[in-house]
Amino acid sequence: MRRISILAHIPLVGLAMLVWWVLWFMLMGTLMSVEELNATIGAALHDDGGRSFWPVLPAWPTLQPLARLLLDTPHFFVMFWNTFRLVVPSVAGQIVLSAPAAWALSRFRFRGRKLLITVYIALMLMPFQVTMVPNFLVIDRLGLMDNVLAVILPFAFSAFPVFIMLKGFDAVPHALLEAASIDGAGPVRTFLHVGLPLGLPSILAAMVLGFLDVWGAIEQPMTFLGDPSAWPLSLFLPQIVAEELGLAMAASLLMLLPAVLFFLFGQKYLELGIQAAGIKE
Amino acid sequence: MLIFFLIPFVDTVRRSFYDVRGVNFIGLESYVSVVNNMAFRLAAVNTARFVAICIPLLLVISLGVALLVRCVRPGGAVFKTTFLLPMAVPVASVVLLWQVLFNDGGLANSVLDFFGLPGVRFMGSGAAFWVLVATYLWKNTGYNMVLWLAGLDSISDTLYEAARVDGASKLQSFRYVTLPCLLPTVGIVSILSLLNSFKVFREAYLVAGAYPHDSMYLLQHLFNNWFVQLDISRLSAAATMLAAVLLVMILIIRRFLDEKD
Amino acid sequence: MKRGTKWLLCAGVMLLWLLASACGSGNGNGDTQGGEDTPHGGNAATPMGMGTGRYVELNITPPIHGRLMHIVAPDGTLLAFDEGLRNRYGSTDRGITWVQSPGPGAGTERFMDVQSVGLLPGGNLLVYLREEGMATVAPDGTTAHFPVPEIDAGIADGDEFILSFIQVLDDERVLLTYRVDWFARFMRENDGEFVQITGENETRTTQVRVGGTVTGGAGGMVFGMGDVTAIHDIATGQELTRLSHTDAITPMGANANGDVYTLMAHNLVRFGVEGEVYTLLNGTAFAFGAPLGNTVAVSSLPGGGFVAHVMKADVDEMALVSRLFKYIWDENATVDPDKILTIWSLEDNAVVRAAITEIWRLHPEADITLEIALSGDAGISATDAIRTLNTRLLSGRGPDIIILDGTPMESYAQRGMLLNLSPGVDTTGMYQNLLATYAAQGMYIVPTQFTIPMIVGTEAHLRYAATFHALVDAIVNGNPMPVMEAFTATAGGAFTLGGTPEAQRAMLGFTDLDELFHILWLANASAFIYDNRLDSAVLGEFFAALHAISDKYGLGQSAGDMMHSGGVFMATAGGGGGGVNRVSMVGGSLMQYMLQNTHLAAFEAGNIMLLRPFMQRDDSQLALFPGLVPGAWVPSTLVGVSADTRVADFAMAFVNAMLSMEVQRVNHGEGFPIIREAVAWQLEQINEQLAEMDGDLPPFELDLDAFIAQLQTPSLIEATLREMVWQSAERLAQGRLSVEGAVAEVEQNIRNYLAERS
Repeated sequence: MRRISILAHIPLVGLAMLVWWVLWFMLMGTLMSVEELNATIGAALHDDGGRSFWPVLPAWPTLQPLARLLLDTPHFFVMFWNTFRLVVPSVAGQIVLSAPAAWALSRFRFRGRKLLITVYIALMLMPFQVTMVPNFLVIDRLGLMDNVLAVILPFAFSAFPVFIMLKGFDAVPHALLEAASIDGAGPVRTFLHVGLPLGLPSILAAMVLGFLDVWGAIEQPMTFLGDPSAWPLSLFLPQIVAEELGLAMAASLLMLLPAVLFFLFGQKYLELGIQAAGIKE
Repeated sequence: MLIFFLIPFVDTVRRSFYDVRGVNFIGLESYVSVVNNMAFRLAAVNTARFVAICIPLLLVISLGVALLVRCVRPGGAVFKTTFLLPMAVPVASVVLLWQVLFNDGGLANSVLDFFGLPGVRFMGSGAAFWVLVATYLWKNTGYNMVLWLAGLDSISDTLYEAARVDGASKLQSFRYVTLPCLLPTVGIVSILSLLNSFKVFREAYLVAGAYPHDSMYLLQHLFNNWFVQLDISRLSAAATMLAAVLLVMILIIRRFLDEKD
Repeated sequence: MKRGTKWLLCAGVMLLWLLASACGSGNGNGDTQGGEDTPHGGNAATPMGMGTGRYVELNITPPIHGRLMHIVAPDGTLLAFDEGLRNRYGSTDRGITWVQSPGPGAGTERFMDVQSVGLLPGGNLLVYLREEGMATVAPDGTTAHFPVPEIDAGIADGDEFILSFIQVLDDERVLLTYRVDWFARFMRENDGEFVQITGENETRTTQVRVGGTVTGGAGGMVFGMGDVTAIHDIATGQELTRLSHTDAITPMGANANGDVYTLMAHNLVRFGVEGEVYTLLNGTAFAFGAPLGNTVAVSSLPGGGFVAHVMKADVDEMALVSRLFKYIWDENATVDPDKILTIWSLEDNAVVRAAITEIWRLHPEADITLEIALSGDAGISATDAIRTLNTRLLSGRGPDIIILDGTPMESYAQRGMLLNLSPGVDTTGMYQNLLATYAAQGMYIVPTQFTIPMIVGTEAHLRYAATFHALVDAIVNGNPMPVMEAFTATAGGAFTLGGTPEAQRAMLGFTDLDELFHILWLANASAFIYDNRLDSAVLGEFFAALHAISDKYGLGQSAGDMMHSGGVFMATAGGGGGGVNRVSMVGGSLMQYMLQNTHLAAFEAGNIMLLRPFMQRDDSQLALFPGLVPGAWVPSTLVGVSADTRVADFAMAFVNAMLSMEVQRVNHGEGFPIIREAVAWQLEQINEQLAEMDGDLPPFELDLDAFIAQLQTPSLIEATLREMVWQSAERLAQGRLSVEGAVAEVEQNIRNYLAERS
C-alpha cells in the first residue's frame, strides 16, 4: 500500500505542476519589472517573430507594478469595491432564494417535478447572447437599468445553486423528516431545523461557486450598468492586459487572491457539497 | 426564476419565428436558413466534437486523478486543493496566460525549440482545438475529481472484501465492483461537465476573437457574431434548436440513470 | 405546506432587497448640499424628465473681435479688455449690457503682449510686461513697477515669463501663476514679500498645469497639477486637501465648503473635498464642451452661475476669437418633449459636436445627449459597445441617432433597424456620385464626410502611377529608401528640405507596414471582397504588390515596432481659419516627400488646408491613388436614424444640421465636407487668407471637384475584415508566409465571416 502511495505521487505531482506553474507564473510576473516582462514574454504578446522565455526567478524582483496598482490607480479600488457590491448581495440572494426552492423541489413530490428540473438544467445551459435581449427587456420593464440590482437579481435567481442544493437536500434521510413531523414540526420548521443544518455543506458549496461566478462576471455588468464608474474588477482586467503588462500581472494576482482565499476557506464545504451533489439520487 | 429564465426563453422562441424587429411573423424561415448555413453547420459540428471529446476525456482523467488521490491518503488534501484551484483563476488571467503560452512567439514554442522541434501555430491551426480542450480539462478536473471521490467513498468496503474473498485481483475488483457502483455518479458528472463546457467559450473568445481558427469556432462564436450583426431571428432559431437538443440529451442521461436505479 | 414555502420566498426577497439597496445606496445620490449656484442640486446635469428648470447658456461676449481678457470683480461686475487693453468693457448686470470706454492701452502699443490681467482694489490693473516685470496700470495708462523679486531677478537674467493667471486676493496679496524656463510655480505676496506656498519640489514641476482661484470666506487656493488638485488655505498657504482625478482639469473657484468647480473632460463638474466628482453640466450641448474650442477659464459668478471663456477658430473672422458664455439656472426653462434626442457614437466626433451646437442654436428648447461608447477610461472593446447598443436597439430603447462608423451598419440597414431618410433629409448640396451608393433603394445611411486615397508628385513622376501595376513596378525598379541615419546626421535631426539628390530618390516612402497597408487597403479592398464573396485572384495581386513594396523598402523588419514611426504631428487649421487644438497626423509618406527623399507620396487626403503645403513642393500635382478599385473613396461620419425613434422629424432635422453649410464648411479633421459648396468655401477661404498675408504667395489652385467626380466605389471600412487581412499581410511582410500562403490563410479565416452572413 505504501509503495502504491509513493508511485501515485509521480503522476499526481506531474499534473499538479500544471497548476503550480501557473500560480508561480502569476506570482513571479507580479514581482518582475516591466522591462523584464517585455524582455521575457514580450515576444509572445507582440508577435514580432521572437521567442519568449520564463525564468524561474525574476532577475531583479520589484514591487513596483504592485505599488503602482495599489497607490497610483485609485480606479482599481473603486472597481474592487464595486465587485463586492455586486458579489455580496448576489450570493446572499442566491442562498436565500435557492435554498427554499431546492428544498421544495427535493421534498415535495409533484407531477412534472422531473421535467421541471430538466427544463431548469437546459435553461442553465443557454448562452448569455441568447438571453441578453429578453433579460434586458425584463430589467428595463422593472426599471432597474443602470442599477446594481440589474446584475444582482438575475444572479440571485440563478438556477445553478438550486441544482447544487437540490442534490444536497436529496441526501437528507427521510427518517429524520418523519421524526420531525412526528414531533409536530411544520414544513417551515422542518426546513429550518432539519433541512438547513443537514444541507449546509451543499449550501456553502453553492455559495463558493456562486461567488466565483459573480466575481468573474463580465457581460452582465457591462450591459446592464451604463456607468463605468460602477463596473466591477472583472472589467478592469481585460482592459489593461493589452496595454500594461506589469499592471495586468499585479491586477490578476490581486483578483485571484480573494477568490482563492474564499475558496480555501470554503473548500471543505465545497467538497462536502460537491460530494453531496454526487451521491446518487 | 420564471421572470429571469423562463420568460426570456419563451421570448427567444417567439423571436425565432419573427423578423429582427419582432414585428412580422416569418414562420420557419429562420430555421431553414440556420440549418442551411455553413457557419452554423461548422459551429454545430465543432461544438458537438468538443463536447464529445471533452466530456469522456474529463470523466476518465478526473476519475484517474480521484483514484490516485485516494491512494495517497496522507497528502491527498494538498492535491485536492491544487486541482480545485484552477476554478478560481479569473478569466482574464487565463487569457493572459494563454497568450504567453500559445502565441507564435510564446513559451510553448520556446519549449518545442529547446527540444529541436519545429514551432506550431497553436492559434492558427487545428492545434487551437486541443488548446481549448486542454484549458477545459485544466479548469474542470478538480471539480469532477471531487465528485468521483464522493462516489468512491460511498462504495461500501464490504463489497471489496467480498470480491477479495472471491479471489478477484485488484484490477478485477475495480472492473466488477468500483465501476458499476460509480455508474450513478456518471450522470451528474456528465451534466455538470456539459454545463462547464459551455463556459470555456469566454476564454476562447477573449484570446482568439470573434473569428478563431476553424477548429475552435463554436456555436457561441456564431451566436455572438449573429448578435453583433443583429441577426436575432436566426440566433433565436439556433438557440431554440440547441435547447431542444440539450433537453433531449439530459432526458436521455436521466432515463439511463433511472434504469440503473 | 405550499404557504410556508411562499412565505419563505417572500421573506427572502425582502431580505435581498434590503441587502441590495443597502449596498447600492452609495451610488449616485447626487447633490446633497446644493448651494447658491445649483438651485436644483444634482438634477441639473440631467434636465431630461426632471420637469422644469435647467441650466441655460447665454452668449455674453462683449463686442470684441478676437481675443479678450475677462475679470469677475468681487462685487459681481464683469470686466473685459480687448487685445492691448485698448478698450474696456464693463457690465454691472452680469453680462447683459456692456459699457465701453477707452482702456489704458488706448493709443499705445505698450500692452500688446498682455495675456492676463488682475484687478487691484481701487481700479488699477495688474499685468506682466515683457522685459519689465509686473506692473500696475492706472486707467489712464500710466504704469508703475510692481516688485516681485523672483520675476525681477529673472528678467535681469533675460528670462521670459508667461503669466497665465493673475488674481488679486486683497490689498496686500496677489496670486500669480507663471511659467519660466518650463517650470511653473506659485507665489503669494505677504506684506510686500513673496512667500512660496508649497515646498520647492512640489511646485517646481512641469506637472503644474493651471493656477488657482480664490473665493471669499473659508475658500482656498486651488492648484491643478496634472492629475492632482490641491486646495490651500488662503491665510497660511497650508495645503488643506488633495484630490486625485484621472482627467486633467481647469480649476476654478471653490465654494464655501471648499468644493472646486472645474472643467474635466469637457464637462463642468463639482469636485468635492471628499474627492467625489459630480457632473454639473454635460459638455456635449454647451460651448465649453466643443472639441474645436479651448476653454481658457471658468469662473463662478457671485450670486450663482458661471462664466466660461472659450476661444475658438471662427470661420467668418478667420482668426482666434474669444467668447464669453454665462450659465445660469433657469427655473422656467422647459424641454420640448418632441425634441429630446439621444445620439450614439462609438468614438467622439467633431462633426457631431458641431451639429449639436448648430441644432442647439436653432432649437434652444431641445435636449440633446451624446453618448460616446468608447470614451475616457471605460475600457471596453468596440464589439462590447456594439453588443450593448444592439441589446438596446432590439428592446426598443436605443438611441435616436446612430453615428455608424465602426458598426455593422449594413446589417442594421438590411434588418430594418434604420429609418429611410430620403423623405426628410435634404441631399441636394451633396456630391451625388458619393451619395449614389447609399441612396439606391431608400436612404438609410448618409455619409457626411469623406477622404480619398491620393498620390502626389510632379507630372513626370505621376506617369509612373498610371495604374496599380505600373506603380508597383516603378517602386520595385526604383531606388531603395534613402538611409535615414545619414540624413539625420547631416541635418542634426532637424527637418531641412533638399534631402536626397534627385537621382537617388525612391519612388515612394512609407514609415512602416501599417501605413503601406492602410493606403493599399483603402484603394483595393472592395475589389477582392464584395457581395459577400472573396476574389482570391485579386487578393493575390494585392498581397503580391504589398509584398514587393514592403520588401523593397524593408518594412517587414520594422513591423510591430511602433516606436519606429516617423510620422509627424502637425497643427493644422480648423475651418478655413487658424485652428485651435486640432492636430492632424501627417503620414510618413508625405513627410518623406516633403524632405525630398521620394518622388511621390501616397496618403489618405481629407484636409484641404493640409494639401497646400505638399502641393507647393516643385510643381506637385494630385491624382487618385491608382488602386484595383476604380475611384475608391472612404466614407466617414456616417449617420443613421433608429427605426424606433419617437422623434423622427427632429432626428431628421439633426441629420440636416450635420449636412448644413454651418457645420460642413468647418474643417473638423474627420475628412472633406460632403457638400460641394463647403469644399469650394474652404478653398476660397484659404486663398483669402493667402491674399491677406504680406508675401507674394501664389493662390492655391486645386480642382478638388474634378477628383471627386471620378469617385465611384466606397472603400471597405469593416474593421473585422481589415484585421483578418492585416494578420496575414504582417506575416507575409515578415517573410513567414508566401503570397499563396497568405491568400490561403485569408480564405480560411474569412470563410466563417462570409458564411455567417449568407
